[in-house]
Amino acid sequence: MTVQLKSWMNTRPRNATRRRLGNIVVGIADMAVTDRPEDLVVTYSLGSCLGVTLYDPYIKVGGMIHCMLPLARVDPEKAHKSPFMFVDSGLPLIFRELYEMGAKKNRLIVKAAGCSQLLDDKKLFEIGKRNYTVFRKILWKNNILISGEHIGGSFSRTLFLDIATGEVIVRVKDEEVIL
Amino acid sequence: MTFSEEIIESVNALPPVPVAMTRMARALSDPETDVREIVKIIQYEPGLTASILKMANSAYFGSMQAIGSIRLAVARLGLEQIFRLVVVSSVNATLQRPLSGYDLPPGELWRHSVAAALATQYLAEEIGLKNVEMAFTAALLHDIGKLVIGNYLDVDFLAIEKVACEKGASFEEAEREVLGADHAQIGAAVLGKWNLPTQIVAGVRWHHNPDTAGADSPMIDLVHVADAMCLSMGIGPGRDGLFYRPSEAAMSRCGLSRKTLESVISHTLGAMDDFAELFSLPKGEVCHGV
Repeated sequence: MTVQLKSWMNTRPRNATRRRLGNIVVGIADMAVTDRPEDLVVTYSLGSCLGVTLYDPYIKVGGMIHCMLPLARVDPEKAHKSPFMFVDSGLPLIFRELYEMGAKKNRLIVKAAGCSQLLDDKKLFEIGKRNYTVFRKILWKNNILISGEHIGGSFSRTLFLDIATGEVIVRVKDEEVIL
Repeated sequence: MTFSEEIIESVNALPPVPVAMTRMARALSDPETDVREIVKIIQYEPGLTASILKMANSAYFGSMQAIGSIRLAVARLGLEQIFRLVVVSSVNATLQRPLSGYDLPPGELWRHSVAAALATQYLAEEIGLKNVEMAFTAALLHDIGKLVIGNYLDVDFLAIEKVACEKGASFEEAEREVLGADHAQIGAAVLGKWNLPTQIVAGVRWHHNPDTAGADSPMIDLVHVADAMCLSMGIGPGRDGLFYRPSEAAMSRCGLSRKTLESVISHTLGAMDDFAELFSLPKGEVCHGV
């Protein structure tokens, strides 16, 4: 898997932009939804994990999820307690939360970041790649398109979602990329 | 001063660990050790005694009756558990430091180290390894060399990152190319200075290169796998990201399947929160500055 940048041209030096710290921090195996325009949602240290942002620009409602593993069947008990740990159990839930807040499927803008890989020629740890495959499959089955992504490579990433504007930013190394 | 002299000087500048930790590690390696001896070792250090008793009485261990002495704590929790608490208490403050060179905010190296230690423990249980406490300690201390490189040496981290990105080298290979030594070698030097048992030193020394350790040691393999798992989970990757090479041979020597790894990953994350509570740390994320 290679780094896919839909908007590589939209990079800016790390300190030139937001000095704001995200006020809603999404931890590993967690998610957040909000409709407050002052909120900046953030998740740190995306390695092989998958970070997804969803945003309805019409009613300015958005959310973010940070999933660690692809399939809940590896640990059903854990999936019951912490469904956002897994892509297949967490992703449908965050969509549902946003629908309850008034978001509509055809308006939701979906962007993703993460799914990095170790330097793993032997494909021992393919967690990042498998997270991405399951994510794509779920969206494809539900006729939802991905509007932007920053996926793969061996980087650690930070993902921001600005609720006022819907802007999604990925911080990787010393740069920020607008998705 | 040559760079290697500079490294030795930096190793000397690290705060020493409590004598109790090294003495207890040595005592535990000796099957003849008397439990009373271990209780005495801890009791000679009042700060450590207080911190062990505080943890032994925490909700984490769910003790119904108050534990008022080290002797009782050893009897209730067992020597292995007490040793883990001694080790974690001993290096707690050291590992909490920020490492700006590696782009790790305060507390992040601690989270990575504890996650690797817990993952090593679970993996060890999966494969039925004895001597889990030594593996736990090696995993907890495996990145201690990063503290020396990040805090005491004048290092051009961008040059290391460039070598890793442009040559497809792993981060520790890039460290060796730029600095002449990597964080695993330097970490092993630190632990040697602290007089820790050789098996713990070896676990740290070879955590990125288990195949070249020259010894068939499941402990080295487990620390290697646990470290790779935690970086992959996003616990503690900084500037080095996921620029590390997992060893296929280490995985097959331990007989670990992908399913086992994923199950251990999910257990580790749950245990992390309990452990953070034990040491009164904020759960989940630490504060990342901009």
